[in-house]
Amino acid sequence: MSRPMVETKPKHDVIVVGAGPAGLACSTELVGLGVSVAVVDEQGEPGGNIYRNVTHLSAQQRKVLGLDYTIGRELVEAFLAAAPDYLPRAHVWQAEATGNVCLSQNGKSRKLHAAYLVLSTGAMERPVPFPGWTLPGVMTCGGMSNLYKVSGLIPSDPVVLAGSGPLLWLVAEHLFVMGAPIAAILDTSTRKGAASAARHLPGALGRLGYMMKGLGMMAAVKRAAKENKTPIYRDVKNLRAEGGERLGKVRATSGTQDLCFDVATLLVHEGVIPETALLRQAGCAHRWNPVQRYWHADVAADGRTNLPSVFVAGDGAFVHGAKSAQLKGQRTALSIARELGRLSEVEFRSRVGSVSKELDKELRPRPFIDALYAPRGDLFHVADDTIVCRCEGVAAGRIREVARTGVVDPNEIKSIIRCGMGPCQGRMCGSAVLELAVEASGVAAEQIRALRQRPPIKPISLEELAAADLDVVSPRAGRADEETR
Amino acid sequence: MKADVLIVGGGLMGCATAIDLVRHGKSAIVFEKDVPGRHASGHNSGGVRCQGRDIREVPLAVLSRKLWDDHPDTVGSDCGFHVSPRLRLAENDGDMAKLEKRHGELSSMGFEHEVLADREEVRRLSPNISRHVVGGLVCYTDGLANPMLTSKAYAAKAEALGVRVLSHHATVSVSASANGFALKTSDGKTHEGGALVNAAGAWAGKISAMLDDPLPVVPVAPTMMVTDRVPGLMNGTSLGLTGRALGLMAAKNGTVIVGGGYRSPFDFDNEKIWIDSTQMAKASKLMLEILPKLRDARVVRFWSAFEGNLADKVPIIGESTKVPGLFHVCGFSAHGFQLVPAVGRVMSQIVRGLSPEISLSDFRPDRFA
Repeated sequence: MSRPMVETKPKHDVIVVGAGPAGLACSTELVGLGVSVAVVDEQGEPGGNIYRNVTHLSAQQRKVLGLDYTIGRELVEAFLAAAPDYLPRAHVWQAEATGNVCLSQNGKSRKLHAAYLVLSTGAMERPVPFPGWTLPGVMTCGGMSNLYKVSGLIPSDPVVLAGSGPLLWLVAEHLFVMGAPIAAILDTSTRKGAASAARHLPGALGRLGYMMKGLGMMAAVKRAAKENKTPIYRDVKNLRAEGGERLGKVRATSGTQDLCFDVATLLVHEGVIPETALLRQAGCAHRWNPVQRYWHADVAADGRTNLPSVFVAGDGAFVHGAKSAQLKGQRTALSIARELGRLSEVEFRSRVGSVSKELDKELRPRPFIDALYAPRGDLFHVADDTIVCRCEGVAAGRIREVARTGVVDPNEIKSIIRCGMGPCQGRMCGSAVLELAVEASGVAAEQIRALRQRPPIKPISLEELAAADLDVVSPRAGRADEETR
Repeated sequence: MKADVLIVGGGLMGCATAIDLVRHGKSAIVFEKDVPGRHASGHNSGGVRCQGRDIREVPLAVLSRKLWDDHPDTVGSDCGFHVSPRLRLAENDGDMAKLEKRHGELSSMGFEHEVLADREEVRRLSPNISRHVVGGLVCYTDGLANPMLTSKAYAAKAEALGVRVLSHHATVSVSASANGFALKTSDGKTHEGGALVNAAGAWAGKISAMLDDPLPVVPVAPTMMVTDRVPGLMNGTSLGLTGRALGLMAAKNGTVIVGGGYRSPFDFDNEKIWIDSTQMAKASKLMLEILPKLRDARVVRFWSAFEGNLADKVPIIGESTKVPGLFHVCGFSAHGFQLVPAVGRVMSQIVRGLSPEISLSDFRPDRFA
């Protein structure tokens, strides 16, 4: 935590936003090719969410988290050895299509200029509202996993896990290994998901190792659940968190059975979606994915977007997991190096083949996994009184009411009832507002304009903005400079 | 399709005109290339102010202010309107002299809506104001409203009254003949009408050019921002400056909406605006000079949308001198929101061949010639 802040040169060839697997691999590769790179990251240490705190793990944590996690260490060490200009604890609040970014670090905002911008903002857990989701004591599986990665903290009182997706099972496995008491696991996925996933199975089997690992994880959780007498309920619906000041009870149904647990912690997880706020603010074109039901940046294989200076690498473009993100980051680096003239066409070709091949192999099981863990059709069909927008306290019923009048564009819904108008700009409620509008109006999601994101994508104080060093450098002048060097 | 009046632009001016026309027995079709309220109508700062308006606009603004109170009856929604006195600050004696002069001018015209405020009254209205402010001019009945809600309410009311509001119908071409106008939309269909209203906002210059009646309306991208909630800090009073560009609106929910003539660069043909954060940094500096306590307020969002601008900053409202039956209502230059209800009424009057209840001679389309 005491790494000195690197004095940043006024101009870089490339700015990489995010120091997860994609950002680390991309910047390391670029530096190796003689490209000057600045890496801006919100965390204090490189690694992103997936490899959080990876260089400071105790032997015990390493053992629990396993090989998949600790390979992140090599990635971080290579990044530190490459030594790009690294700006930790900094958040980008505006990305410009020309390749510049406005960022806030240590309470000060300034602008960085570069010829290319790589947005490797990663993924976030899909926020799904349900009654009581705002109660203290309700957190996401990812949040819990960050806790034990950083501090080794685990809950000492029984917890309930509820949701769907690989991370739910991974966190369950980790908690069992660390000896945390689990009162129950509530699996909210449907059999329908399994049925539609089956047709992707042949492709997925091309990556047998990966599939076996997933099955192994599930088997380990089932075994541990049996040993610990932890029930696993299937086809769980009607999840509800109850309590006054904080969580006291979790209720749900499984088939015809009513479930009730007296617990102080509920860990939820409903899959992972790309973190697109900065991408959308920058103006990257997006596409709708009907299986996973999210908007994602429309990128070429090398992460190229509709904006000539902007690339998106990693899960931020589409959620494919850490290993793929790393390869995507590398792939993007090769394309940018070629455009900057640091790789000849011949060199580029000789390098890109192996990366692309490995990436293809990595992506093979994804259609199966995406279908298997597709969000349940009625996932967002919450009761009218359920709060959807946490910032502004807007409930589901109000959103339905507006959508039924024919206003289905989340941007317009936002302007009318303030849903998504708070500091998070709909990051937490955007998915739900869209699904509620779809449910109430019958209009298909892809026909509806995606929620716009405006700078600053994370709030900054007025004092900081007033003092910000934002003097504009013409991006064209920057390019000319590049060519004459 | 045929109608008495074809209206290009489904924003507030177009819909307000349509509503009044059908209420007086005329049929109308509104052609909207996107959806009502997509640009300036739905994304302005929401200021409903008489204070500080160009003297030429004051009679319209005063009528309009009365009509804002009638919105629940006229369009079925209060449009989110609430009163927030608008106080224009004098930061020095020179500013104060300007405000006194304006006050004198208004009084001589018989308008009493703006009142001079001394140091003490300024501090009563806005207790956190910086010490250097010497006085001001205040309009106690000004307020703000929700532009998107207003846009949707007007469009919905127009439709309810029988106006065809055609969203996603861009006007591809329009021509005038002895019998009226023929307008072709992006779906390939042609529509006919006896009169044509150009209420196309930032696109009004393009529409007027199609009819060989070019107007100097140019697109601009007014840029605004909003803070998180700072309850009580503004004391419900909205602020403006006299010698510098800043407008601060005290929304009922406790946020502060910031505008005042800031602009961003854009690519009009592709409808892209690149929000210029340096402009918002400038506004922030001014805000801290005026209300130092805003220091810790957080800026939540910048935004911008296209608007039609004219060099002399007052709109064009009137019949074309070149093309009979063509009526322009455009170029509101980023302060048309408050004028909407009154403009709808006078537009309908002139389209129906009546003389308008308020003189529009200052807004003639041919004044630039």
